[in-house]
Parts: sequence; C-alpha cells; structure tokens
Amino acid sequence: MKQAVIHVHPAGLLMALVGNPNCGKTALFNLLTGSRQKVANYAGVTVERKEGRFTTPAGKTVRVLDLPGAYSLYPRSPDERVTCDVLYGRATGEKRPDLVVCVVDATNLRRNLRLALAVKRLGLPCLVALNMTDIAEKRGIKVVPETLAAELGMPVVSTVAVKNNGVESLLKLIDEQATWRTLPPVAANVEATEHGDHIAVRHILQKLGLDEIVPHTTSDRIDRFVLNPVLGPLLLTAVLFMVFQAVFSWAEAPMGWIEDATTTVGELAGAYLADGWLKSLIVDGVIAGAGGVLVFLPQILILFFFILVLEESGYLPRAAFLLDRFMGWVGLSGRSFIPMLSSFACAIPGIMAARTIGNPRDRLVTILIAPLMTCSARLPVYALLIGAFIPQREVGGFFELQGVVLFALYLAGIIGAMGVAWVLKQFTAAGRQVRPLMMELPSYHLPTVRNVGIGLWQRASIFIRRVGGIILVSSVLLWFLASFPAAPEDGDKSQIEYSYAGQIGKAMSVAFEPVGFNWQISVALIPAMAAREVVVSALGTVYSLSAEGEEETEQALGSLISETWSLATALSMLAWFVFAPHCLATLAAIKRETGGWRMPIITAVYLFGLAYLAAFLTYRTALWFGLG
Amino acid sequence: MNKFDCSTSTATLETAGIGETLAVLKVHAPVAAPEWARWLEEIGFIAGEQVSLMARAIPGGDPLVVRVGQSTFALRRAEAACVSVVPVEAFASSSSLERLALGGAQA
Repeated sequence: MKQAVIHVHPAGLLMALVGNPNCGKTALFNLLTGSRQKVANYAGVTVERKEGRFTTPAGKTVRVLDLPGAYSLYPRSPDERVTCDVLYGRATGEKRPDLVVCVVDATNLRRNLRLALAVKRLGLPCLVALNMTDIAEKRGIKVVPETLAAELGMPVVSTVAVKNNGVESLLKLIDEQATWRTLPPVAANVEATEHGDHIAVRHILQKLGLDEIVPHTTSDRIDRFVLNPVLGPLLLTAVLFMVFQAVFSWAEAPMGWIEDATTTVGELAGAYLADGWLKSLIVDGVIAGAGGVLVFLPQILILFFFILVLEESGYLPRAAFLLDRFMGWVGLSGRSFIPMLSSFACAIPGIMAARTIGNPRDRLVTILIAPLMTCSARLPVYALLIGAFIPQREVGGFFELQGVVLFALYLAGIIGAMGVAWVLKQFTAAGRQVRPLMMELPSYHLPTVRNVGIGLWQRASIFIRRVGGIILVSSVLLWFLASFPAAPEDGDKSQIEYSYAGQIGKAMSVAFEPVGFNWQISVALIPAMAAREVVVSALGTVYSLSAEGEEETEQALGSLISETWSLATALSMLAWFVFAPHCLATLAAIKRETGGWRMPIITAVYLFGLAYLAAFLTYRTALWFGLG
Repeated sequence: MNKFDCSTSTATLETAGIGETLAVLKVHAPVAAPEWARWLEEIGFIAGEQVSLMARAIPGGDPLVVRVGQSTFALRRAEAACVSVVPVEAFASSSSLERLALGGAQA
C-alpha cells in the first residue's frame, strides 16, 4: 500500500552544515545550538539526523542541519549519501537548505576547499566557515579570510568551534542576507569541472603561500607511542580494561539509587491506589517495568562517556588501526571495531554506528554479529543465575569464581562473533577480497566538556525513548497474559497455570525440554523477547512472587530457583542468553538499517539456532558430569 | 596475478622508505576496484601533493600510516600501491605545463 505523505516544513531559514569528516563541524553545530538539538533518523535510513536551532543577533530563528561528514559529493557510505541527497534536494521529507555553510578545516585547506567548490556549484547560497584557525596558526598556517573569499568567490568567516565566542562573525554574516542571497547561481556540469577544482585549489593555495607540507609535531609524537607495534597494543588493552572496569564499578552506586527510587515510587503508588487490577498494572507492570530499564542507564552512560572522549580525542581511529590486522583474519576491517565496542553497551547504537562502514558486505557482517557482544541488558540475567548457582570462592589464588564465570560469558560472546564472521568469510567470495581501509587518523584534540556532555545527553534520551517504550509495553502485556483468564473459584493450582501465559509456556516447554528448560522458563522467554532483562521480572511473576522491588525479586527468586532448578539447567540458560536475540528493538534496528525483513529474520534464526545448540551442548555435558 | 595488484614500473607509496618526503605522480586503480582512484584523490592523493610514509603496522607491515598534505591516513598496502610517487625534487623540476598534463592524465 502506498501512502501519500505531506511534509510540513516549519517556516524560517534552513541552514545546512557541510564539511569533511573531522573538520570540527559537529563542534561548531554544538556551539551554535547548545542544547537546542533534536536527534532523529532521516526518513527510511538509520542515519542520525541532527537538527538544532539558534537565534541570530538580529533576532532571526534559524534551523540548522548537521549533515554527516563527506569527502566529496560522490557518496561512498550510507551516511555520505544522506549529505548528497539533502544538498541536491532529493532527500525524502527534507526541504532543500536555504543556506549552506561549508565548514573548512584551516589546517587542511587543500582537501576541504575541493568540497567547498563542489558545493558552490550546486547553486545554493553558500558561506565558508574557516574552522580551527587557532590550530592552524599554531602550525604556522596563516589564512586571511578576505583573500580566501576573493579567490573562492564566496563569503568566508573565521571560526574557532572550541571557543565560546568563536562563531560571532558567522552569526553576523548569516544576518547579512543580502551578502549571500545575491550570489550568482553557478549551474555547471559537476563531472566536467571536477578536475578544474584541483587546479583551482592549487592556484588558491599558491596565492595564499600555503603550498607546502607541514608536520604536526605533537600528534606525530603521540602517534610514535600509540601506534608503536609493542606499546600500542598494550595501551589499547589497558584502555579497554579500564573502560570495562569503570562500567562495572562506577555504575554500582547509581544503579542502587535507581533501584531504591523505583521501589519507593512503587510503594508510594501502591499506598495511594485501591487494590485491584489497576494497582497491579501500575505497580507491577508500569513502575517495575520502567525501573528495570532505567537501571542500565548508568552503565550505558559510562560506556558512552569513554567512547565519546576517545572519539573526540582522536584515539578511536588509532584503535581501529591497531586492530585492523586482527579483524582481517575473520574477514572484517578495523572499521568494524567502533560498532562492536558500542555494542557492549547496547547493540542498537552499535548497529547504527556500522553506517560509517563503506563496504556493504562488511557493514552487513558487522550488523549480524553486533548482537553477540555482551550488552548491558544481559547483566541482570547473568547476575541472577551466577548469584544463585555459582558458589563464591577463590580459584587459583586471586580470582573469584563468580567473576571468572562472568568473564567467560563475555569471552563466549566475542569468540562467537569472531567465529560467525570467520564462517561468513569462508562462504562469501567478498570476504576474501581486499577491502578498502582509507581511514583518516585525525590530529589529537583535548575533548571539550560541551561536546561530550551534549553527546551523553543525546544518548540518554535516545535510550530512554526507544528501549523504555518497548519494555513498558511488554511488561504490561505479560501482566495481562499472566492475569487472564482468571483462575476458577475452585481451582487447586496457581493463577498462572490457568492463564494464557501458562498455556503458552506448557506448549513451548516441549521444544525446550531437551535443553533442560521447564515450563516456567519457557513462559518467561516470551516477554524476554522485548528485552533480555525482562526475563528476571517475568520469572518473578511466573513464580507468583509478591515482592515489592526489583532487588527483592532478584534475591527471593535467586534462592527459589537455586532450590528448584538443577545446575545443568542454570548453565544451559546462561549459554542460551549468550546467543539468543532476545531484543525486538535490535531486530527492528536491523530491519531499518538493511531496509527489509530479510536480515532481521536471518539474524533471529541464526542466533536462536546457535543459542539452542549452545544450550543443548551445555546441558548434555553438564548432565554427563552428573550435575543434573 | 592478484586482481587487486596495480603495481607499475614506477615507485609507489607502498615501497617507500619511512620518513621520505615524496610527491604524488599519479593514482591508478586496480581492475577489481576502479572506484579506488576517485577515493584516493578525494582524500588528497593528487599529482604534486607531498606524501610521506610514517609507519607500518606489525605484524605483516599492513596497514600503513601515511601523511598526505596536511592529513594522516591509514592505508592498506594494496591501496598505497596505487599511488605512484617520485622524489619531490624530481617533481618540482618538471615544468608547470608538464605538471598540468600529469594532473590531467589522472582525471
């Protein structure tokens, strides 16, 4: 069915920021708009659409789009395609910008100016923001905006996106509409003039006296250490270790506060509401469900804090460089490292980060294996099972057995992902090809509080909106399935056994009997499709516990299951959760990202297959060792 | 012969010594990946641009760290092999007319 869509664009000036990757475009965007930003997706693609607004000194409100960084108007990855489509005015649901600001890195004029010339030819009113002029001056590159403007034939202002007053001249120029509105439209054949751009840029650089190579001493000196064949990998290991350490130790306290707050809110609501289905729905369904999700926010924010700092500083591409060889063994490139790292917080931003991978096959493989990284939603499941079944004791002198098991589960996910990528390499011809790397290693920068802060705030709101909604709905749904139909008056079994949920679970347990799951686990696996951690509260509901808060549920549930399940069943369930794609939001992200049902279905089928196999092998091996 | 091989008789960035300052002569793409020529040009490998090999990864010497103009890029050896280079002096001594012709050859 086709739908007619009418796009209503708000009135006012629409400005687009265009520039090479790493030119400081997003920093400029953050400085212009502050917190007045909205992050969404472009219609039909999972490329983040960043829009903000600001007010000029003359009082005009301007909407501004931060377009994905591009080297030219010939897209080589999905996010560069968006930039082109918006500039050509053919992006679905987007108005063609009224004004384009080409952000040009003053330390790298040659490459940046070529894009500016290409954009100018599109015939849109166009300004140049000469960015990073402070760093350029430190390196002895002095660019006079007026001279450059005369050579380029478009207005040029100098900006320093890391300084508070760095955009004043740009704001003033935006107000002087007569200056840029009257630019003669240049409509020439893009192909024909491309070679002309090389010559034009060379000419401009010669005029400015900038036609020579300049070493960046500081970055080079850091790189001698960071990219060193021996020290580099050691540093990378240390950095990753520190990040994971922080994710677990720093998050502990705030997670406790969120759990306590959830319990308090639940008790308060319980005290004010009359007993009945509405109270049960709000306290057990809505508040417990939402609290169960929010509890992961600290871990996700801490992981993203490190990712943002490492990204801003320029270290992440170096890490990708160091891991390129390793990723090559399994048929991927270093570019897949950043999406995989994000997936340890949550697979969804990981899958979205894969959009920067130009090679379609690599991008697809990265998306397929991202759900195998141990995301933070698996932690409550692991915590429940490990706490209930694995004894607290030391192994080998200073390792703690529970910690070793948790580490092994993380490792199992990574090995699983690498194994899947390796198998795909063997079966797809493209896996053995030489895939392009061509990855820029930007100069090192000190991350700014503003940029990291805005990034974190955006991550937090995306997480709460997207995952929170789904978990809320599923919690309510499970509550409904487990509560209706009500048990008959003379029923001698518990409520849940009469309900829809009980009936479904009993039917499913036939399939799960070989891996050691009873009907209670089978029931809990259904709502866990919404999110893995739901299995904890679902088991609680299924075992008809009337605990008040999440923490209490976990403890009481822990001792209950340790009495009723065998160790083999618990180990089998751990193996199941390493692989099983219990996350509809991830599958939905894969569908959006790949533009169809094929990939999410393939992902779900292969991950459930692996999960069943792993659970089966674990269960049978455990039984053989007499752990049944 | 490997279809990603685009080695020519001239010296390429792949075989350059670490720290040498060189000038790009031209960029040519392998048969299997004709788009590489455009991509390399877009990131700055244009005739006359100064380039220098900064480091090689270990093990295997792949990928490479390359300075091109004012930016630093990680390139695969196969990618670096697409960039023919000459010593800067050799490029500078050719007349500006010749330089334009060289520039024209790669467009």
